[in-house]
Amino acid sequence: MARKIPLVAAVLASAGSLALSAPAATAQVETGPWTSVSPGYSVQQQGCGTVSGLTMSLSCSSASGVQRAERRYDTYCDGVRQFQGTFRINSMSGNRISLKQTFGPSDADFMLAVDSSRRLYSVRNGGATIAPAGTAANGVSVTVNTVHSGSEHRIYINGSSRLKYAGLSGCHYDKFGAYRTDSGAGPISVTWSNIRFWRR
Amino acid sequence: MIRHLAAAVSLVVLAGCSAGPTGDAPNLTATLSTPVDAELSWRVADKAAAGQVVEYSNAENGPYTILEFLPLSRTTYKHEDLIPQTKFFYRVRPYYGTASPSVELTLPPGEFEESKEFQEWLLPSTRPGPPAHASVRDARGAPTDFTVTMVNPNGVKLTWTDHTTDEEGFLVEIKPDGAPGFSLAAMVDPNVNTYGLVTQPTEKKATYRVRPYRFGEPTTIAALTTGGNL
Repeated sequence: MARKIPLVAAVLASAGSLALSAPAATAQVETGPWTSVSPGYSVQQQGCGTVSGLTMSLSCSSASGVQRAERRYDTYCDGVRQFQGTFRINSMSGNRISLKQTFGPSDADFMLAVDSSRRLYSVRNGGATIAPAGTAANGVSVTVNTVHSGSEHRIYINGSSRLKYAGLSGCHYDKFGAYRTDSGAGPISVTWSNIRFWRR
Repeated sequence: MIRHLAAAVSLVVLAGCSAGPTGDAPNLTATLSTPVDAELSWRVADKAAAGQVVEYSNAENGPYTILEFLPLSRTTYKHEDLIPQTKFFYRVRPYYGTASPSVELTLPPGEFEESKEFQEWLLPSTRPGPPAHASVRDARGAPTDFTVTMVNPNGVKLTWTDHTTDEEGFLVEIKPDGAPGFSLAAMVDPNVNTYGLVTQPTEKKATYRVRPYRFGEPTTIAALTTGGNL
């Protein structure tokens, strides 16, 4: 069943829809009232990155160039925004791969990444550990909540507070998948599930 | 609804338990020891299980995320630094399955090196094998022919013969030299019988085993709402 995945250069496939209001949901965190929203998204595949549904893969070990397999959601410029999703690494022999970003206004204001020890860390905070080695072992589900309020980012892993810091103000957007950081390299295969968004 | 007040805390403590599907009395309680620290306590319902998992969700109907695999000897768990001002729901589920015989392997020195090329040996796969014949709850379902072979100084390939018909997957368990017991290295899909694992520096000498698993009935669900400040 193993096969090499061909390189796909800079494919951007629009796959989203415009934001729609949805009934109030019950799984959100922090004090509401929150409104469930469904921002549109595009699929970003660059270098050796491929996206198949909610499974994102980097098939190469290149330590240079853009290697990306992500969903990039619509930009927002107001309100408090909450993202929730659960990821599971299927296989990984690479290192320092970004799994989730809150991007804006012109760079990744928050970047959750995983290293070879399966530690989760924040690329933008001096590599601060968000969850210890072994957290993201193969096949193990990890639930991520991020709340972006003004310029403040609050990061939660498996229900626990892991990081809070002041980022940049301005418009942002959420994205998740697999992306080679400046010091990283694949391969990796990760599957996301239960993706939810709210605003208040 | 049952409400517990933690002895040392007179702050916000909202703990609830709901009866199980059959109306059983609650067998899991969750209380707040601080506004953002939960303590769980439960009774083990089936001592024939192989172990148990503690799970949480922010919605009663889930989906639930596993917080930890625990031995049956554990009946308490602390979930700490919780998201403030948020509802939490907990449950504990037993899991069943008999492990393969264990295999020890010592890897040669060598630092972790990012791979030079796509590594097919890491991908889980299913080799042809004899028909499976046993339930996960049957000890005859334990995997046989378990092998661990070195692929490189930081990688091993595991193979086994699958004998279970109803597994939800396999647990790859590892005990690094000097560790008190086995811990989870990976969760693998059902029917897989070949698996590659990148090892950690602390696992140069380690013992491995693989276990088919299937979850049993959960405890009642216990609920609480955290306090604290954002």
